[in-house]
Amino acid sequence: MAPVGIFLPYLWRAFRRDIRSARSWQGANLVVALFFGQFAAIRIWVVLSAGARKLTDDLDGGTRLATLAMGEILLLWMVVPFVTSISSLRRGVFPPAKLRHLPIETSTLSGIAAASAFVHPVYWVMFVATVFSLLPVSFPFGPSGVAGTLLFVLDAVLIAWLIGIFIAAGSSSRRQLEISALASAIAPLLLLTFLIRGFRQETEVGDRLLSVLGYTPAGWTVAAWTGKRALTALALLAFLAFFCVRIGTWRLRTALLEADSVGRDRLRFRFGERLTRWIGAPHGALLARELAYLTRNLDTQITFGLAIGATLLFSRTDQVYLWIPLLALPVFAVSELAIWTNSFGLDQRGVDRYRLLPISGADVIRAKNSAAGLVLLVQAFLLAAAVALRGHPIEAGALLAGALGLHLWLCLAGNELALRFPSPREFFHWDNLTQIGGPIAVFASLILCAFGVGVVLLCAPGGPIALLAGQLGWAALAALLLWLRSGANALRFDSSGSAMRARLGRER
Amino acid sequence: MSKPASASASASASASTSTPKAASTPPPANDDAAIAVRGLTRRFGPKTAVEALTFDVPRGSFFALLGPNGAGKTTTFRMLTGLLEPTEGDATVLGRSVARHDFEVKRAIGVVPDDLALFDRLTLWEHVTLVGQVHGLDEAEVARRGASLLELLDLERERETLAGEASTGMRKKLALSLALLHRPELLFLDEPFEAIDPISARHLRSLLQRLVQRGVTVFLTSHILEIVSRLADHAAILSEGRLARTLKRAEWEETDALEALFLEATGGTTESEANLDWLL
Repeated sequence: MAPVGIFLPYLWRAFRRDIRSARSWQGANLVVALFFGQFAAIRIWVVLSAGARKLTDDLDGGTRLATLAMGEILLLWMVVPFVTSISSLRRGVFPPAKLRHLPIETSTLSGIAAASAFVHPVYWVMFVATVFSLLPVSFPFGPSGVAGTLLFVLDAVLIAWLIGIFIAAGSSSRRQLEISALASAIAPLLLLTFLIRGFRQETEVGDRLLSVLGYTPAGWTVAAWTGKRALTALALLAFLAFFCVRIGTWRLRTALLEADSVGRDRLRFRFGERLTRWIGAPHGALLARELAYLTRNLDTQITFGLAIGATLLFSRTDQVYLWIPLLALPVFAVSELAIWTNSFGLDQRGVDRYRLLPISGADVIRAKNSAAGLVLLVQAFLLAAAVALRGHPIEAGALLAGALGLHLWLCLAGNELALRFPSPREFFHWDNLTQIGGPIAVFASLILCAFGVGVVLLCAPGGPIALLAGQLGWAALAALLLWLRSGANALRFDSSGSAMRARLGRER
Repeated sequence: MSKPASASASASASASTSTPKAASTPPPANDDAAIAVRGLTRRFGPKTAVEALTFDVPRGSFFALLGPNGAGKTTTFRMLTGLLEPTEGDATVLGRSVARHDFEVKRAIGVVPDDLALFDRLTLWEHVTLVGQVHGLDEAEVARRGASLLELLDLERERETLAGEASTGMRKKLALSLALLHRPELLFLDEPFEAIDPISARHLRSLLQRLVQRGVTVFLTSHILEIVSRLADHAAILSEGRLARTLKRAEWEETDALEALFLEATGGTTESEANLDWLL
């Protein structure tokens, strides 16, 4: 049996060439590099501050800052191994799936995937950052502190990474892979919470989570505004969970591109097909097509599941503030979905097909935005019903208004991005990125969702009426901007369609 | 091409030249066959891509699997090479069940898959050394065999080219070199003649003929009937996932009409009944 070791020199050469190629430093790779650069800059500042405080005998303050820095590192270790391990089976610079026709055992293939994940340059940066971060944490404790903290990080890393590798290696069908990957995306998050609990047992839950999640500009700002640190932490946790889930589904979609050709058909969802027929052609044909696409998309099915779960959860508690962060998760997810699969439009071929048909841009954009809006409102209605049944009708209304507002904001951003960056972007991957639209959408979603949470947290202390008013204002502003931009966007779509038809005519 | 002696064995244990029905109990595997397929079925959700295939490929034969687009050729190919698990049935390759002994089967066969399975960031020569190591060949032997294969396929000067920067024809020839490196007894080729230039195609034809003469079994899928009719001595035609017909060389040699037999088996001779008055 071929040992993993014989592949290592080849892995190294392939990754080295990939990093050195100019293409690797264009488009989205650059955005990712900037993101990590910003992350590193914050880290350096925190670690230096922690070290300085300890040197000036402020041991408590120094330890607190150093722990915050460790929390960030842990988060990174949770997310990145999953991303690289899952994807490296079938995509990336050295996908082991390309070795499947050779006499290599499955365990060796998994080993190659694991090795290729650790050869990835992101890991080098993370190793250096981890060692750098450990310095101030272990400062008063000496070498045993360093060893203990290092072991703590390695535990988390290995478990998260093994989950990704083995689940991906052991899954054969498309559906199995997607569901497994989602599980492995969420598992590290739970693990993180567990580990943090063990790491800082003496603190409050909110402080404990804040120690990991709160060290971001948004986290500090919102916490300072509202004084509700635990709430902020929960909101950010929901936000992070949503981000992990989305990364999971993107990664899997990417990984599955090379899956069995017959199995490449999109997931069928009978309910969606029936709904399509019910809404029916010819009047709602465009809307029905969009709706059918959305309802048979795994993302939507998952967010429906999350919405139902959150509804059940809330129907058993009377804590008004609890639902805000909890319910933010499905709302965020589906709203973000609106940008990706709707405003960005099916996949590129779907949009091209529209461009080739004599359909007005205004109709296309309206159909796309409305379909996602309908799905969102059905989900939000479940949650709102639970809120209303617990005796909080105004909060329920605020929830619906907030969800609608967030959807409108995301549609606004999605429409603009989709029309300005018309290359396919759903299938982007982090190894050889050339499309910029995908990462921009990710960051746009993050920013808009963060604003959404901010509006909720700002208005909540003023009572239910203030909450409702804030959400309605938030939605109305988005609707106004969307309406103002709709004409220009429709024209842009039409002109791109004309250009495409002319180009195809010339080629023919 | 002269028909090799070893190919004179029975073309098929179950399939006749008429359209076969899916047998409820497939006949036992023929140990003399290089490939024995019994009731092989693959479903993807509700869609059945391949249904109850049963046929044999004699050792030392040049076997072509034909069929229109979507007939199930690549799915069959992938099941026979251990890349895809069948939903039902089994295939025996060189006397071993693919489902139970896929590792041993992969050691004995050479495969050129449809996507070629090359790494864009490795050079052609690095592919050769990597695959040689996987097959357990020593360094000197890999260098000797690799150099002669690259020379034969006119890739010697390009050995330091990255696979991602090589032309489609070069990539195809490299994939073939990798499949031959360990002297396989059975060679699987998925559409080997697509996207390669006439000169390379001629070299490839000649190489495959010589391999068959030496006793290697070649199993290929192709759309190009002209090449198949010149090279193959046995063929099977798939239509909508089912075995429509199996053929021996004599059957198309007598009439020089593989295309006619293909169209007959796949229903391609039937004129469309669509009313196109508005168009034509």
